Amino acid sequence: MPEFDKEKIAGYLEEKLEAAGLEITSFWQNLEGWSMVTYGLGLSYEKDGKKIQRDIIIRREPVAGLLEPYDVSIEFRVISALGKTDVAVPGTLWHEPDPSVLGKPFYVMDKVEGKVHFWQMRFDPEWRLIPDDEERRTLGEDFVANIAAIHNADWKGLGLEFLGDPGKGKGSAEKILDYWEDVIERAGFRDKPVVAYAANWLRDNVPDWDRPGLVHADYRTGNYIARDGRIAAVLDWEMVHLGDPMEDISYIIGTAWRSPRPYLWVSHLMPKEEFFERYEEKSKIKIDADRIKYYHVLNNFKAVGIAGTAANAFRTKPNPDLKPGVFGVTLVVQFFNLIRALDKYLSK
Amino acid sequence: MYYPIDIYFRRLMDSLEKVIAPRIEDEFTLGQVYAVIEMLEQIKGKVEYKRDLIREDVERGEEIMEKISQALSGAGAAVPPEIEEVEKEIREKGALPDLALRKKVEQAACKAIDAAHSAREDLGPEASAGLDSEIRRYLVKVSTRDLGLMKPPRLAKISRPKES
Repeated sequence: MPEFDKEKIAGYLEEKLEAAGLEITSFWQNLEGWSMVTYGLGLSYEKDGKKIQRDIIIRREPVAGLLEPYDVSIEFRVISALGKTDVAVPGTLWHEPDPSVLGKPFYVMDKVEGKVHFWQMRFDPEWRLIPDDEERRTLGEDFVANIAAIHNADWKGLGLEFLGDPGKGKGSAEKILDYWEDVIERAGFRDKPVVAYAANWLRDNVPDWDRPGLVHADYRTGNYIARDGRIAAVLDWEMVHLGDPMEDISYIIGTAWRSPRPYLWVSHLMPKEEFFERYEEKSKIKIDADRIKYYHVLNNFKAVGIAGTAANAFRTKPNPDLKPGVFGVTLVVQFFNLIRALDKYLSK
Repeated sequence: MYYPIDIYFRRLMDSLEKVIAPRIEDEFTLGQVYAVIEMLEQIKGKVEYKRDLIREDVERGEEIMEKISQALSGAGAAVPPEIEEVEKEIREKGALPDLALRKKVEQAACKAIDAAHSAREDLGPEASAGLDSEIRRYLVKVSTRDLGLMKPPRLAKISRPKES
């Protein structure tokens, strides 16, 4: 990549790692992301008289992306804090706020070995994303255990109050609704009739929740690393915040993330009813159908915000990466999904 | 998303020139890339959105605004001035396939939707529910048409899986 000066970064890493003779032995850019820029580096260096070889991952804010404005430090602080809990996360090393190093702020973490199940269905004759029954079973266990641990994380004790406590009652839903409405406004799509209609409904139907917890906001197969049938690390914490766990549950059971085969399994792992049962048992948090319904609409509203931000970034920021433009074009799909979700509930 | 067509051309040409061309070693392929850039440059000022689609948006917006303003007037509730202004413009000039007019219609339709929402009590439960259904029908119709125009995105070809 032209923006990545290997010699400069090698000197920087040598200093940060307090190492000598550091060499970058391999370098790759993960191309799966539509938001943060992710680089992988193989390193070889000496420290305390020992020869060390290790792989690291650098997550950098993009020039223009789907989730602006970016603050990579949030993700870094949350992952670092969750390293002390049962949630599977990569080990973090440091956060670099200085944009002069790589053009934008970034953070560094250990590379977690494993694979990510996504868009690989063509390899299975039955079109299953995770064809091995035993692997699916154990991943399912970890999938439930991790989201339960995220929702029950003691965020105050972990020092995550900076995420902003939404308080009791309507705080959780109102805070996240305000956030996405503001995102849509900034992207220039608040004056779309479908957005106006949805915003009125969402304001009228805000649910109560008295025990705000950590919400991942993009939890699904495709956003974790699997190794030997277990979840080795939960990834993509860009939208993490404090709120109602049903926001996550509603997102997790969204049809976009369910399998064609077995038919409509949650995150390609298990039937919805089984997921609900196991989640309740593991988290001790009750599934609430009304709040799930509310967050179904809100999550579609959020999707408008994400696609709208991408479209706006494409329009306003000269960026040689065309991905925001491609994602922005999907805005019509998000408008359709939003009104379809509302129509589903209101036309009854 | 109806941004000026010029933006799409500029971004495509930038990507070809700044990202793709510098990585091409084969001279013939490089020449073909510059030929594509050249053709885009030459045609960009002559391309515009399909006029029928813009006109349809204007007409549908006008139709729902009319329904809302009739319901509001009938219930003695205030009709937002933006609706009357846009309706007047369309009466005078016709439902032109013009992006600026389409934008005005969308903005006025938002005001109309908000006004219908605020006037629910004035309208009464039955009329309010009926109007709400009409609004949803309009929104479904508009978004279904746009969805139908979209080709299935080939995202997997643009973004590789996260393989370690």
